[in-house]
Amino acid sequence: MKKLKIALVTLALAAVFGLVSHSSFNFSNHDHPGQADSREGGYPTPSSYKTIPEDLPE
Amino acid sequence: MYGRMRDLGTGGVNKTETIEKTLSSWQLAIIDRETSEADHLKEEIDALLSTLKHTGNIIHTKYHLLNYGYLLLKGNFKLANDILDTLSDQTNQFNQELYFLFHFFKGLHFKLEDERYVKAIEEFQKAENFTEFIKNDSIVAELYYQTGTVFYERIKNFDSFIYIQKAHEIFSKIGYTERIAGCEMLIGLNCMDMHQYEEAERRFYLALKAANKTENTSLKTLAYHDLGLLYGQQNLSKAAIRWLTEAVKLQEDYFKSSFLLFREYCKLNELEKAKEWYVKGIKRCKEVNDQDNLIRFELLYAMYMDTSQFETTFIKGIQHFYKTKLWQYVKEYSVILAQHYRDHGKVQEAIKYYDLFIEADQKIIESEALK
Repeated sequence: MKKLKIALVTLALAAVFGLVSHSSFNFSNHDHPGQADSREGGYPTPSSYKTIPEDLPE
Repeated sequence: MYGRMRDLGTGGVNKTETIEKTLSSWQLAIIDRETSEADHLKEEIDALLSTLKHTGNIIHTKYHLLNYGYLLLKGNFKLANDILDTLSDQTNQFNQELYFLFHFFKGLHFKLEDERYVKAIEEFQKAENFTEFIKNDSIVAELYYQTGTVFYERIKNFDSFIYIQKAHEIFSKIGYTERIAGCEMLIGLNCMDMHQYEEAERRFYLALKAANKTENTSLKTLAYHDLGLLYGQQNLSKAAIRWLTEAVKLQEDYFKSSFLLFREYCKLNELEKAKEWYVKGIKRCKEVNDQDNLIRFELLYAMYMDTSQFETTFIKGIQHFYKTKLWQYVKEYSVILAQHYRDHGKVQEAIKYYDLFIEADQKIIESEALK
């Protein structure tokens, strides 16, 4: 019975499985404050050169 | 390159004209992201302005506007926000060039401070209405480039590709090698998202070739990193590690490469080496207080290296990403946890996390939908 349940869950979510790729680290769709640069690709932009924040004059 | 005006301003040349020229050089340095050049030019312009009792309103407004862009370049968002408030009340004094700069910088502000990409694109597209009033083509190309980067972040690959191509065309005409390398990287990254791996590979090699013509170490690091990412995504871990190692040789603290090295070594089950990159990565995340990536390191660690903590680490991590509305992460990690529960016969828990996966996917679709 337990195995049947597992099989049913698996089948019901087969479509979902099809959409999943373990290596697809395409993260950022958000549009809200407070998040770090979150995609895995690298390209030149001011934030890509960020290291430890500088002490900036206030 | 930016035509600094050290030798002007005292002889026959009118001081106002000198200030205008220096402002133009400063503008170009800011938009070209040449921080040290922008620093020098700011000192010059501050000195020049302090010697003048009366300058036109337009000069002062332009100075404040460029100072806004300069603070963004330096990452000083607190002061940038203060200036933005003042500038927003002065838009009636703007000419077309200043409108362009205002919207361009405001778009960058949304992008850089807190990744509010929809707002960033709105501002960039407002700036686009004023491109005909911008004499310097590389500034217009930079707007296209930045618009393309935001579309890339939002996984709007077609739009991103179109904008980056436009930027690439202009930068190629000018022969601006550093920017050509950047465009090649972004075209390659968009190709990767669209599963055009051969073209992505070709573009990354073009990016590396262009980067190698420059002295820009960060640019080379990024090119190596992207090649590593490409091969890693194809599960060619050894090739990925080769390129990622080159990236961290040039810039050891580039944590995106550290994370990928950690992941690729995990995939190869070379856990000692993986742990080295885990230790470096979390140290770096703590230094810069990057909670999201710290959790990603911990999740990977729980998957490959300390599986006794797998469930608790994943539950906590997913809760964090749910709270911060990082739906791609919720989606990515909740399905892994669901699969784990399924494999261990814990059906109710599996259903809960599959449901969460579906909810996160729905949130992503909603965020992409036409408004």
